[in-house]
Amino acid sequence: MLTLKGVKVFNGEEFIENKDFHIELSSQEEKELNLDGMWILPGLIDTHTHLRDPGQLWREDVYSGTKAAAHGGITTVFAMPNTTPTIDTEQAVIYLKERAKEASADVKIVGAITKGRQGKELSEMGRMARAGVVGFSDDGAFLNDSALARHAMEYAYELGLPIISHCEEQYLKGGHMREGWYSTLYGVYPTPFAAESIAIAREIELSYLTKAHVHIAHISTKRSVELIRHAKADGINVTCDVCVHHLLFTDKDIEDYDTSKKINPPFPTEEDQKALYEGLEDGTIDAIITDHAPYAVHEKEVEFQAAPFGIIGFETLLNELFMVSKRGIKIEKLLSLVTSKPAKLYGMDGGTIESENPADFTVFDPNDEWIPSPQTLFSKSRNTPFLNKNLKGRVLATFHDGKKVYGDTKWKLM
Amino acid sequence: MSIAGKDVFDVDVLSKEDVLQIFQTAKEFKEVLQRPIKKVPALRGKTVCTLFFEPSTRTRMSFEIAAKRLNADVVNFSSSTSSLKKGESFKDTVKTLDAMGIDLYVIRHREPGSPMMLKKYTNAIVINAGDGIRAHPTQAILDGYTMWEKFGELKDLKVVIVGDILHSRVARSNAKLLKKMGADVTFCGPKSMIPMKAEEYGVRISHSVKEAIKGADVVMGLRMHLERQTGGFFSSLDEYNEFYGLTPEVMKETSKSSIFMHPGPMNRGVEVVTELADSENSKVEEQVTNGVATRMALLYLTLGGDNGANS
Ligand SMILES: [Zn+2]
Repeated sequence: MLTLKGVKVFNGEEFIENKDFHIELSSQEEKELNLDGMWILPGLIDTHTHLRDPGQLWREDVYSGTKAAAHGGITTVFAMPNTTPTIDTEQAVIYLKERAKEASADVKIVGAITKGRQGKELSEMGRMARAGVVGFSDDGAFLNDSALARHAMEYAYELGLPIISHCEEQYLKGGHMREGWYSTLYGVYPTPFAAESIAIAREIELSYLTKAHVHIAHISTKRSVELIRHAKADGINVTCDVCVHHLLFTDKDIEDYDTSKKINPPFPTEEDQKALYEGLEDGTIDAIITDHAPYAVHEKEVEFQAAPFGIIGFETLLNELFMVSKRGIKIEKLLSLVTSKPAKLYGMDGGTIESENPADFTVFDPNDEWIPSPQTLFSKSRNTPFLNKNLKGRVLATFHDGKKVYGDTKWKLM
Repeated sequence: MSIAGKDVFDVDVLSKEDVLQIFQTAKEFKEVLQRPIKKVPALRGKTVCTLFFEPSTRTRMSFEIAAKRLNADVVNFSSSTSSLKKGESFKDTVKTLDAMGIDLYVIRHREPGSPMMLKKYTNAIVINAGDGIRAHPTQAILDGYTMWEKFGELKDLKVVIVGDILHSRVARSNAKLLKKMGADVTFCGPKSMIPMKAEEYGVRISHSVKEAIKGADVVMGLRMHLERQTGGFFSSLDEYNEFYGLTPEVMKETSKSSIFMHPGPMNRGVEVVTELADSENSKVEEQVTNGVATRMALLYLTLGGDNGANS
């Protein structure tokens, strides 16, 4: 038995101060660790990630990805299906599940809505559901064909699973940052906010038509927040999440053309970002995600407009939430959006600490610091705007399924 | 010598005083250009490399002539002869060139921010000769110089820039430089071709040439790219020409001493008619000469030439 003394335990909703926290160890010895003021969190849940497995292993794989997740305190990840090949069959789901057995986190699989994410034919959603997918998404692409999208929702409704929708209207998209004063000033071809909100409006209407649960991924504009808020008030089964990076960066930050700040949807304008904060406060936004999207150095070391979209996020998630809380949202609320809220949203266990000795939990020191670098990151990639920056707060250990999946030197003893 | 060693990514890196110093120096160099032997040894021993990843004979030649008039050695690298075609990245290309000992790069690239990217890989001075739709500082300097030469100062000068502002780095850099120098600037064009929130440059926005042009001292036309029609930016050249084409007729509303300018090459019959392009108040050819003089000044001042323009 290991006793952690003086910790703050986050139960998924609030902190319980100054507790002694007991962990069952495989060895019989009794130990005590004084961890004054440190946090015990439920293993975090990240419902939108790209593990690049199978087929893009130079960027990440299910093992490096989940090691990075563990390093960030995350014990459950949703793997998006935009791999090579696409996860669009029962066999592919079974294959990835098998691979993920040895992973450092629980890998939940999202199946593609259409074959090859091409938007032409429905994939075998029923069979993938049988193999255990948690939802369907053509993430990275919007399903332009509204009739097909409707049928996908009809199947999803029958299967009791959500459609996770990447919303981007096909003709308005194509830019490299959000349209506004800064896209004008920086001379970068932009995408207007309406590319996102038009697509969201369609999804809301189709959800109303089919009753399917449609979850809008990574919303980034004021109009998106407003449309979803109204839809929820109308009783439509629509939910949404926001990517943590969009809460910290704006279009202005593209000024150095750093390709590790290039992401889709692009960073919001200040006005849009303000609306995202309001959406978090009033509960319009149901979860926070990292959209962990690894790219190799050579892929990102190109001109801004030539660079692929995506930022890694597992390992800096808690640091970023910490920064967001400094801007006026209670840390408890932010933590609930990566623990109990997404668990409830997708009907999963976890995301809470109800009793002692939970299977998944994280020990976090809010006062320690660390610097993401090629030496310290567990991800194969390093496309983060926080590279070589000093960050406040550090994960000391992560436990998944009762086993330690990450531990800094202090925890090597165990 | 506050300009010495400066990288000219855009006009914002230059102070008002810097701009005036460039104008003064350009004026001296322009005199050199009138001489039978149009050369000064100010930059002897320096090596200038033009890096053109986008075809532009005019701008590249202007820089090359400017550098050669100052006795610098010039090497040209352009995309047609470049290893970019072989898939070598920008970074590798620059590292290779840098190893050969370049003092100053002049870069033209379709990507915004490419001059800053170049700077990451080199200690040499970098001058932006146009990066995508972002900036074209040397065009703005030569345009400003042309106005300064004609009117004596830029303060309160009424300048109207007409056409496809959205895709124009010339308009963007001009707006910054002219506002810095106190001019009154208007962007005029159809709404589809005015970039979002352009008023934040401190310029006026107008969708009517007739209104915008009233009392203008300078009317600047921009090249209309014909392929914009497919993007729905305008319906037909004929309609565009009727509403936004610049003619001697339209110029009647401007101030008495007004001038017409254009960064070239002109689409005669589209954004401007020949009668105006070749008229007495057209400064288009003068702009080309001033391009060489102002680029000489900029090369000379950034490279910290100490031999004086007249030596
Ligand atoms: Zn997406």
